[in-house]
Amino acid sequence: MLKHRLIALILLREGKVVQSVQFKHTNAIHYDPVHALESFNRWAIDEIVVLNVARNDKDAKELPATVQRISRSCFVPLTAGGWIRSVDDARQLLARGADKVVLNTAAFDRPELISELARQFGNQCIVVSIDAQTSDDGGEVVVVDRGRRPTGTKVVDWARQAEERGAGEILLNSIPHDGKRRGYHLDLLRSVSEAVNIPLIAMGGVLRWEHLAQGITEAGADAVAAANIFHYTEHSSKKAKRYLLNKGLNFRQL
Amino acid sequence: MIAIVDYGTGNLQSVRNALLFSRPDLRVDIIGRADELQAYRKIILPGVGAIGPAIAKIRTLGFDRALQKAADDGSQILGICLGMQLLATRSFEYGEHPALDLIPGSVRSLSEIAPTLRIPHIGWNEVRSTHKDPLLETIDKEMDFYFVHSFHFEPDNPDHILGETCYGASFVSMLRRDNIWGLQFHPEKSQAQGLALLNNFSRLEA
Repeated sequence: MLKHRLIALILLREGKVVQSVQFKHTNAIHYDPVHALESFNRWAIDEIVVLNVARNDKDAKELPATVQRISRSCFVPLTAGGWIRSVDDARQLLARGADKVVLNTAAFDRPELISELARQFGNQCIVVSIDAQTSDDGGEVVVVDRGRRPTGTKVVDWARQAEERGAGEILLNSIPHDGKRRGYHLDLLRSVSEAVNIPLIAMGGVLRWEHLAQGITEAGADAVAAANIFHYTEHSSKKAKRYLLNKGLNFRQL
Repeated sequence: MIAIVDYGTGNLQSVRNALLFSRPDLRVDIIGRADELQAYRKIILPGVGAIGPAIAKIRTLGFDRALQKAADDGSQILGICLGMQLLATRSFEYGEHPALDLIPGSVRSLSEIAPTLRIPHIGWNEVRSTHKDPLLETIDKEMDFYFVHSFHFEPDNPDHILGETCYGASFVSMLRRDNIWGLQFHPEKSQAQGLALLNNFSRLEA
C-alpha cells in the first residue's frame, strides 16, 4: 500500500537557506543548502522540495546550479521550483537532477504552461503550488507573486483547474499559517483534498509533530511538508518520522 | 563501465550519482550517440516523462537498433520507470506507440487497475519479489521503493515477472527476461535499498 510522505522544504534566496514567516524570507539559517540537506538527515525524509524565493529572476538563475549540487547527495525525490516560466526553465532543472518541478505564479497567469509541461515531461512531474489567503468573507483565495498579489480566485477552483490542465500534485500553503507555528490550515486542506483527485501536499505552520499527523488524519493530505521546523533540532526529521510511525500512520519505515 | 542512455528526456544525473555513491571509482558514462553504445556491456535506460516523445527521440537517435543489438549480444540492460516501459512491445499512453519490444508486453493506464485511486501513483510503496535474483541480493523480499508513474507494464509471459506491487490491484513492478531487467520504481530515489540494487547491477557478472 502506498505510504504517506514526510517532505522537507528548503527555501533559498541568494543561494542561502532562509526561513519563512508569512512569506517574509529573512533569517538565513544555513549558508549552504547542501549542508541543510545533510542536516535534515536525508535517510528519514521521504522527499526534498527546493523553492527559490528570490525577489527577482536574475537571482533565480542560480537555481539549476544549486539543484545540481544538492542532487549529488540526495537519494530521495528532489522537487525544485521558483521562477519557472517556460518549458525550457523546467528542462534545465530536470536535467540537473530535479525529479519534479513546482509552478506557482507563472502557472496561474498562464495556465497553458501546466499543459505544455505535462505534455513534455508527464503530469507526474508537475507540482502546482498554491498560496492561500483568507479573505474578509472567510473564503480562501489564491495569492501569487510570493504572497504579494491577491487574485480573487477561489483556491478550490484553481486547484481543480490545475488538475484539469495536467498537474500531478498540489502543494498547498496558507499565508496566515506560514511560519506561525499553529499547525496546518486543516479546513483549507480538507476542501482541496475533497475537490481534486491528485495527491495533496500540506504545507505551512508546523511546530509540533502532532501537526504533521493532523495533516494526514484530519485534512486528508497525502504528504506533509515543513521547512523551518526541521532546522531547529538535531535529528528532527528522524524524530518526526518516529512520531508518525508510532501513531500507526502508514509512512515508509526508518 | 556502465552506459546511461541519454535520449534527451529523463533524469540521468541522479542515476549516475546513485551508482557513484556506492562505487566512486566506477566509470559511468552518459551516452548520447547510439554508435557509442556497443563499447558497453552494462546499459541503463532511465526515464521520466511521456512515452510518445521518448520513443520518437530514441528512434531518431538510432538507440532502438543499438539497444536491440546490445540485447542480442548479451549486454545487461536495466530499464528504470519510463525506461522499463520502453522495453515493452507497445504502449497505450495517449494513443498507441510501438516500443522497443525487448520484453514482450503492453503498457496500460494504471486507472484500469486502480479506478478509484489517485493517478499518478506517487510515493513509496512495497515491492514484493516473486523470484530470487542476483539484482536483489541483500534486499528484503518486501521493501519500500519510490514510484512515480501513471502507466504500468503487463508482460505477455508471466515468467518474466520478478516483483509485484499493490495499488488498487497488483501490478508488475519488476521484470526480467534473460539479460534484461525492468524496474517500475526509481532505485536512484529509494535511499539505501535502491542504492544497494544499483550497486548489485554494477556488480552482476556478465
